[in-house]
Amino acid sequence: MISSVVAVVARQVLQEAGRRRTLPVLVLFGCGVILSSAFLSFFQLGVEVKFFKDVAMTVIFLFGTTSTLILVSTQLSGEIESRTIYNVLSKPIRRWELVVGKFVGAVAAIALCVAPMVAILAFFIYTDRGGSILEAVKASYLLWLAFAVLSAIALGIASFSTSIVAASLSVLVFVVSYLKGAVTTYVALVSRSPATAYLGQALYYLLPNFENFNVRTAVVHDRIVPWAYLGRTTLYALVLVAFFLYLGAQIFEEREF
Amino acid sequence: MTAPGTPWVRHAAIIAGFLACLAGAQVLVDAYRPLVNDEADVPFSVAAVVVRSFVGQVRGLLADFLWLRVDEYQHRRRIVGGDLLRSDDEALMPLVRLITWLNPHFVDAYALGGQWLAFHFDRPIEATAFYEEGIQNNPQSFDLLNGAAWVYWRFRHDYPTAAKRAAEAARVAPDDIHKFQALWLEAHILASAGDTSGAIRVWRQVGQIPGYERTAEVWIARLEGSRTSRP
Amino acid sequence: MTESRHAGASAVPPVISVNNLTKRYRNPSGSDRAALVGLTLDVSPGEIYGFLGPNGAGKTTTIKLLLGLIFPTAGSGTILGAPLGSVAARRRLGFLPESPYFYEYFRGDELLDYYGRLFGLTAAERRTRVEDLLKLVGLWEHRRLAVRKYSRGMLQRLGLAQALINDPELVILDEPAGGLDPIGRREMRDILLQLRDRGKTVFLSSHILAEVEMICDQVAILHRGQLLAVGRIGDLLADSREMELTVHGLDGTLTKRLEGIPGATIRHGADSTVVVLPEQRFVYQAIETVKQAGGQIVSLTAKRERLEDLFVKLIGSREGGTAA
Repeated sequence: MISSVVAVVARQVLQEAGRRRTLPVLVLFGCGVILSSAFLSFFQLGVEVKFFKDVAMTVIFLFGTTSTLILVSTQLSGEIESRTIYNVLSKPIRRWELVVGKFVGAVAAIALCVAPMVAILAFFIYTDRGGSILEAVKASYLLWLAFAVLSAIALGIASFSTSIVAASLSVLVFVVSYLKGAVTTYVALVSRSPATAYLGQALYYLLPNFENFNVRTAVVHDRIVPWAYLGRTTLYALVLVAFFLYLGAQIFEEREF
Repeated sequence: MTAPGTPWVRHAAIIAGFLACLAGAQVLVDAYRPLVNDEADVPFSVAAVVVRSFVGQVRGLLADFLWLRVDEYQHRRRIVGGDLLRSDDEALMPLVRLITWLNPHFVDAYALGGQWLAFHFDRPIEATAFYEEGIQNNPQSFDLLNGAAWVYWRFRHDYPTAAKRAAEAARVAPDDIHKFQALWLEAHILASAGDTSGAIRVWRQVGQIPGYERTAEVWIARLEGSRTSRP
Repeated sequence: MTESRHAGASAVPPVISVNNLTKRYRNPSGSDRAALVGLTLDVSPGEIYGFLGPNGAGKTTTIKLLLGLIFPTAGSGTILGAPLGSVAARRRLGFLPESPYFYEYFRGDELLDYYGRLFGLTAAERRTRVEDLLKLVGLWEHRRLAVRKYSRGMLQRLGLAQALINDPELVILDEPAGGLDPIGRREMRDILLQLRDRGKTVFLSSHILAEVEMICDQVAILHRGQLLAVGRIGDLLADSREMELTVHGLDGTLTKRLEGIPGATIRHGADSTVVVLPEQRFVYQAIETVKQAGGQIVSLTAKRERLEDLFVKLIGSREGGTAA
């Protein structure tokens, strides 16, 4: 019964994502950009297929991130703002089931958004014989894990804030996770105090590290991404997702409507 | 009946547990990171780290675009400008450096930069340092190992290091042609260093490559002849 | 002055039972605002219970406390034998919020199907219930229309349908007649009466006192978070000895003669006149007077206190004003 309620909510998120025009338009646009870069690279002398792969992976990243933020930041807070929450929470559903259901639906919807772009990338790798489709799929899987983590963060924030605040803070967390590399390296290079060095280390280990999900360079340069790396990164993503969903569910449990 | 409350201690313990798991998972991931992405094990300066952080996930693509400009400008300059040996390398060198900051696996940029530093700017020490950085980030790159061997040999006359790099290039060579090139280089380095026996040993390895037996025999005979003719 | 009459103790456990339920909100200035203070009431099974009060009285706050949408500052309660807001309680009740909002991109039938899934209904059950309910509320022809194209009245009907999707034992309705035309209101009343006839309990909050008076078995009147009165309507409303005589064709002479009856008051309408007589014994005198003057008697009724009268009287006395 518990898992079926989560599945029901997830199904609703999927249905709504498909009916709203925003995500399908984003997907179409992303596919269009990848296709256009594929044809441009074929006609341009001296440009290797790795350039196309890099463009495709970057487009998948950018459009996937945008889709994630648009979809997830409106899920929980949008229900509250539009007052549809009353009809849902008056049904036999626990609040954490609603949070988890929204998450599951969102990551499923994002996977469906990303899939066509990955399919186009795989097609051109196959036809041009420029690298391994499997490695490209691995890289896309890791990107999807990054989107899943971002979804969990956005849901966690949305459990106590409005849609716009949730989207903005999620972007901030995303940006900080890249800047922290600069901060920790600067601290390590410049600091003479053990305390600040430890602080830098703590920041590195305790803040979300989205670079873990970035293997595009390896894929573009035809390297093999070990399965063990996929497994470990999946574990990392699961821990992050569980953490932020736990926080979000706890906050949402105490919230009044 | 009040709002469902949970003691703060329990919350804190759960969060601490999550953070511990997160740190542990990161340690597990870090064991593989130098192999699969472009972060760890790269001796970036603070400036490089800042640039990379701000550019974020599009740095690979930015590196590609910069390379297109470098490649295009270099070839256009050579075709149109006149000087076939030297294009506007000095102006492009910072771009090459930036490309390697953005994408430490951009072997072509390291190879080009190392070549320019050695052959055009007459800065062999910086050239080998640039090559070594590239090799550290791309340990399986034939081009970088082979190129480094050349510079160590011709410009720095550091024969042991040159021979070592050439031997590594032979080990990672993608095919017989590249393997022959690397072994050829190693043999000549050893011969230059006066290690005729070592050079002969390497030529024997060349003789095991199909199609290169005759070449190996010729060079072995030449070296043995020079060894016996030496007073 | 507070009047409260409690329903007699019953052997059957109440469907809703709250004891000293209180909800206070903290203002930005730091002071407390009491939305509900010490509410104690029981709702018996199988009745229609009206929950009345002016705007801001605390009706919606009470409903939200029952459903677990907000949490009480003090007090406790049970709903269908389970704690307030528990999943076990929500499994057996239905709720229609005030001005219901739904997922815009769903069709009417899809929305009901979604809520049915949340209750764990099988596909066959959902199919049957969705069809039956949409026909009951008159939306079957519009089932394939996106909800965002529904009118206000259609949304209200859809809201009632989703409140009944699980065939609940208890139905909680917040302003169920909102947005409905007179025909719609009548249909809503009929549905609620059918529910009661089937043994369901209906708990509704409403502003429309005439509707409440028509169908409710018990009412509770709330004002500024406090319970003013509770009990059966018949018990709450006082009997009056006044009589109302409605006549046609009154002229100045007749009017003067009727005004001569001690305590009589005359209200002139557009096409008839109502003569309010203080006691029944003056009725025959008034009738004779009208007959002699050639007037036409339209009707004679005993004037009874209406719920609206009681409501205004209670609220007015609470606020220090004059009762109606």
